[in-house]
Amino acid sequence: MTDYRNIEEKISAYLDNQMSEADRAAFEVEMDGDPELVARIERWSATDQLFASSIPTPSDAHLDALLSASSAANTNRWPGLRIAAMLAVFAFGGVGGYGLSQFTTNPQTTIIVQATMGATNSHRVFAAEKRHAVEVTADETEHLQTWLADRMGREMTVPNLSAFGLTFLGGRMLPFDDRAAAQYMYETADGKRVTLFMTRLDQDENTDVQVLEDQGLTSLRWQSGEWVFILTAPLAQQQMAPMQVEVRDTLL
Amino acid sequence: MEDDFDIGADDRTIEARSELRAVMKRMNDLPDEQRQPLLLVSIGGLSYAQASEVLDVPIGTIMSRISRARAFLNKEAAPQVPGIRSAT
Repeated sequence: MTDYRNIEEKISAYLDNQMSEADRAAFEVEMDGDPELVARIERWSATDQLFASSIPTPSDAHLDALLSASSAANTNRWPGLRIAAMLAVFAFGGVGGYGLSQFTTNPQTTIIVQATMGATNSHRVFAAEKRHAVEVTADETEHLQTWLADRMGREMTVPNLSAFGLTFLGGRMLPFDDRAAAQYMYETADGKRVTLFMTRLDQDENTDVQVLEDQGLTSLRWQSGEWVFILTAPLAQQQMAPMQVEVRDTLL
Repeated sequence: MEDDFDIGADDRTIEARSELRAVMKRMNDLPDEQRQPLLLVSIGGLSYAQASEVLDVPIGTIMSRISRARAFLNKEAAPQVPGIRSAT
């Protein structure tokens, strides 16, 4: 019989499936006579699920790369830790002791996580479109730049990425939180879509590029002052790195 | 076709989004020592024993930190803890 110090520890152990059979059976009897306890467990469980549902899962290859780069001995021992390590990298940057600290030098705020989710979601939705991929097409680039500059409150020059074999398709405005975001879209010669997502954050900061991989998409994210930029494509990080330099220099 | 536009799985309700944002904010506000074991177990799928080894703290401490983290995420008062754990 595990010694639980309070009901909260029991609820947690129950939700985490960490109770022995005897403890679980006893706890379920306790629950039977206590609808308030059941309601509380359901609330806690719903919070767990809400959070878990918001965490994107990057590829195994990316996790392997992260963990093989890690010098911490403990990371090799538990395969399940790969997922937790991913989570820390992607969302919260909290597990600095596992050799992942190179990803955690900048404190991640909720809004940056949301911007990243917004960028990848927008990429998935609009990159799949043929006729409606963009709202304003490349032949109206001048109008697009003026319009978005007006709505975003900053200069919005379209970066020229033709040196990397990319054709500019156009752009659109997107809602992000309570403000506007912009998405520029490019296409490679073999039809792969590359998007640049930009929005304003609440805090001024200048960051290095952070690389995130999620289900076949690579995102390069950096913050310049109060602006965050997220370049997303189904391409390798090395291929995207020079594009990122060009974008950063254009939209400094 | 406009009809082709498919929001699908990303179609969270406004309410769920704002609740998610609140939860993520509270997750950010948690001290590392509570957030780490919670993430390792609830998202990472580690057992308490594994989390205990990874973080190099006793299982009882893992259990206590995870339950405190969950209470915080659910906007509840911090769990009351008796002074001494009788067994570990």
